[in-house]
Amino acid sequence: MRDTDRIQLLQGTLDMLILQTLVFGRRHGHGIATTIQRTSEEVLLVDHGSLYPALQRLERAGLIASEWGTSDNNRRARYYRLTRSGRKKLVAETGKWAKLVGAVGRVLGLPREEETS
Amino acid sequence: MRWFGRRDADLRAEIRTHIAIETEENIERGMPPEEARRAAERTFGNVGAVREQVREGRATYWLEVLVQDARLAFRTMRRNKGFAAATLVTLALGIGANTAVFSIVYGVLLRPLPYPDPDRLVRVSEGHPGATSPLRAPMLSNLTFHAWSDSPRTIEGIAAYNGRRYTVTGFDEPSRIEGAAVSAQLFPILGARPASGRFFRPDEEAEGADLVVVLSHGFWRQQFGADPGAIGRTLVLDGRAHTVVGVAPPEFYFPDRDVRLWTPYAVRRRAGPDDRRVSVFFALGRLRPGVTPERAQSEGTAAARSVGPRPVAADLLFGKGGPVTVRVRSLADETTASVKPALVILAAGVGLVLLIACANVANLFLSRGVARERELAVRAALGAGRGRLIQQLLVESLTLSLAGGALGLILGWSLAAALPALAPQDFPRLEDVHMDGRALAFAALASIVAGVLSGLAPACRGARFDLAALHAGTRSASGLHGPRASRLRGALLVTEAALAVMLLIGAGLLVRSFARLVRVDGGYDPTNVLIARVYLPDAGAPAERSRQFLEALLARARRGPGVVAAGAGNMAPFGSSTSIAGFLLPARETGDRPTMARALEYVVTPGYAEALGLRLREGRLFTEQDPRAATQAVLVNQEFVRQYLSPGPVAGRRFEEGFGSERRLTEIVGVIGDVLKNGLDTQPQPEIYLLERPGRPILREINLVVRTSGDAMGVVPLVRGLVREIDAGAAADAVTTLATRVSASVSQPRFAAAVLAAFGGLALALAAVGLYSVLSYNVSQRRGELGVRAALGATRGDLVRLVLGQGLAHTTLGLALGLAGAAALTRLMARLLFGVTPLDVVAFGAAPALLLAVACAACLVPARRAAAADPAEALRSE
Repeated sequence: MRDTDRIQLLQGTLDMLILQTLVFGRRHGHGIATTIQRTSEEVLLVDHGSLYPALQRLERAGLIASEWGTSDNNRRARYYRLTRSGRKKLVAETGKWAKLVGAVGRVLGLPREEETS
Repeated sequence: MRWFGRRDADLRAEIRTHIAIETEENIERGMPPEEARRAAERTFGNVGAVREQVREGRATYWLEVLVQDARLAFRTMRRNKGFAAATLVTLALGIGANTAVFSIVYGVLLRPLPYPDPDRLVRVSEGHPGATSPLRAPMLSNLTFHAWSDSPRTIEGIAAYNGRRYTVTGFDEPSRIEGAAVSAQLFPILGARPASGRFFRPDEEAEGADLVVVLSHGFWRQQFGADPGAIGRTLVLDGRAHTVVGVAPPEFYFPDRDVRLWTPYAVRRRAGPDDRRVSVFFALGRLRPGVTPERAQSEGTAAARSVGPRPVAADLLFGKGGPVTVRVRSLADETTASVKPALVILAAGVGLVLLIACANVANLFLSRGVARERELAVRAALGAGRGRLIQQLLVESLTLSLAGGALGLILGWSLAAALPALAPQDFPRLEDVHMDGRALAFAALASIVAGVLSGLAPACRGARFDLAALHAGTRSASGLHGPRASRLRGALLVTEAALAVMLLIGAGLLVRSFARLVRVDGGYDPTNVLIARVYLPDAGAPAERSRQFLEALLARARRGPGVVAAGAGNMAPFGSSTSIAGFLLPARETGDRPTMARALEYVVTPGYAEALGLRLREGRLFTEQDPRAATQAVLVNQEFVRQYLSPGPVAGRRFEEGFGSERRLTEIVGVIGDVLKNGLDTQPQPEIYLLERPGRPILREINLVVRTSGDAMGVVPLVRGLVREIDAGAAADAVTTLATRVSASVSQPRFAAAVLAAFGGLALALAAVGLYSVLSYNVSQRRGELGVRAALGATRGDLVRLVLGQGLAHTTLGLALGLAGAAALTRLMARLLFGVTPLDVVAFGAAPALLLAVACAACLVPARRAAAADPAEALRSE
């Protein structure tokens, strides 16, 4: 896949994506980056480094928590997990995002099949 | 800073893990290891930028920047040692002086007294509104004491106490020590517990009870070697054996630290309504919880008025005025009332010094900012915002001011340590002055305030950049040039001049008032006069012993080498006893109706007046024949004549029915000038002088006065030797020259004047340095312009006038503001002034003149530099 087909992330959407990847359990930084890339079918480009300021921001906001742990291949890594307020925030943000996507789609005259509630 | 480092290391570890995992996955995808690593790093992005971003997101980010800025500040300081030294010294002087004054003010005025619940301890006294009393301090009478303390509601109790000195015998030779006679109630009221033994029982107050004594911890250690068996032993005080019943705890003192022991004091009960005798003493009370001094005061006043007609003696002691009124004041306030006004003025003065120091440092920062304009410009061009630059500059000034504060703390420490040697002996609570955590906190606070005060305005100006101008290459790109910056410089100069002139006026007033005070004629000539207080034991026949002692002592003293005159009296200037006579003057003498006269009654030997150098105004002094003459001879002073006698010649007037406590035919043989017995700042009292004779001995305190032809200290050994030789039980104390006593009596105003004058000098020097540095800077900036002027025909005189005019304009404006400020504020000093009004013309004239002269001198060097401006310079600099 060529780089031009990849999409640079909008400011603020990265936070949401991180929260989403943590829904199914704790992950370390690299894990989060690769999960975002894989689940977006390699369309979303995450500059791995940009994850860390975002992770710190989320942790200070109390949406995620972290602790040191050991990775599958026996490396010391910092693991992040969703907190209760992180989970709430994710639900709220997902709703907003769907509305935004729907609205933008309508303006651009896209078919309405992607509209969800 | 390890904690920043640890968290950054944490992040680095996390990033390392991340890249390692990515590298492994890349290898699994089939990349060669080296390429796998590079790809992983590429995917991650800029590690440095990420770390920086994360750091900025941290809660402690501001602190990290602060540390960075402080490091930068230290580097800058090391590079500019001259600038750093000037700033540090200025701030250290300001902060050091402030810290020292703070520790004094705190220790003396604010630190709680060392007794439980000190807020409820009060001094109780009485007086008649509008009356002048011959008592030196507010006291209470036995009339009021018993009327109130028998059933008090607002207070838990009152205790009486009087300072006393005792002759202690049985150790080496007889010595005089400071003690106090106190009610048994005193110790419970203070909340004290004995270290060993007990305090007094109420029954020990009674006349004829066993004589007992409580020792201070220090006296017990010194004289009894801290022997626990001291309780029950005897101590001979004033020739009588006292049983030691207790020892006070080590830190306990009352009323001050000089007191070494206590004996019981019985407040005299009146025998009946006809009892004419009155005793006075100091009184200490403890308010009941929640009671205000005002409420206690009204209860006490009601009790005092319930006594009924007061004996004449009470009027003699308290003076005549409105109905008797009780005063209840906090013990802490009363203890320090004598020095509070002076301390408040000193605190204000030292605050002004710090403000001037800050203005000076602000000016230094401004000039310094110009020198490093390029550095700041580069920072601004690289994207440092205005806020960021201000922060950096402020951190620099704070770093300097904190370093200055640390130096100042050392300075303050040494000042406070030297204080007991510098301050007057009778300064209360000096022992409570310590450099402690509070002084440290104060110094830190003062440093921060000074750093912000001196750094904020220059930082704001220095951080203002016109980047376009910078780009164009103009030299004056920053806010440190142009009209607004020069207005700031001018304002700082004006402020300094105004503050300095206010301080100088304050110092001038104190100095003038001190000069007035020491020029006051106390009514005696203190040069070459030795005074001593001698005490004989009470036991045996005290009157006869005293007469024989005096006769032998004076006869032999008068034969001593260099002795011009010698005499003795029951009272003398600065002596500790006071004797007051009240008697009826017939209408014939008063020229009106019979009047109750009140006068200090001096009982003296011939030679007393000559030895003291009393001023004879009319008639003659006593002669050696007077004691044997049939008619009693007396002297009166001018105040007595003014208050009581009808106009006309006084010498030669006779009183058939007696005069004073004299009950025989009496003649006033002379009038002398008023003697200010208790100090130069006191009001003259009516005085009469009677001769010592067999029926009227000088008991208790014998004030010996010896006039010599040379230095009076030369006869100290003679006098001490004679006292010992003539009566082995006699103890002499306070053997010193009268001049020394006079000087000691004005030591507080002298101290205040000296300290404020020192602050004034410091302020003057700082203001001069400020003026000099700003003008020097201006001249160096205007070199080109001055050169052009010179080229166009300006003479050297023109150039000097130009610079001088600029410097003096600011100073003059500052002077005007300072004069106005001083005129508004000096009346707050009125209580400290003696014989000088708060708007004293001399002080208000001299201070500005002095400042102006110093300002001229400070301007002269830069002005001469300007005069040397070279026309060629103009061409070179453009």
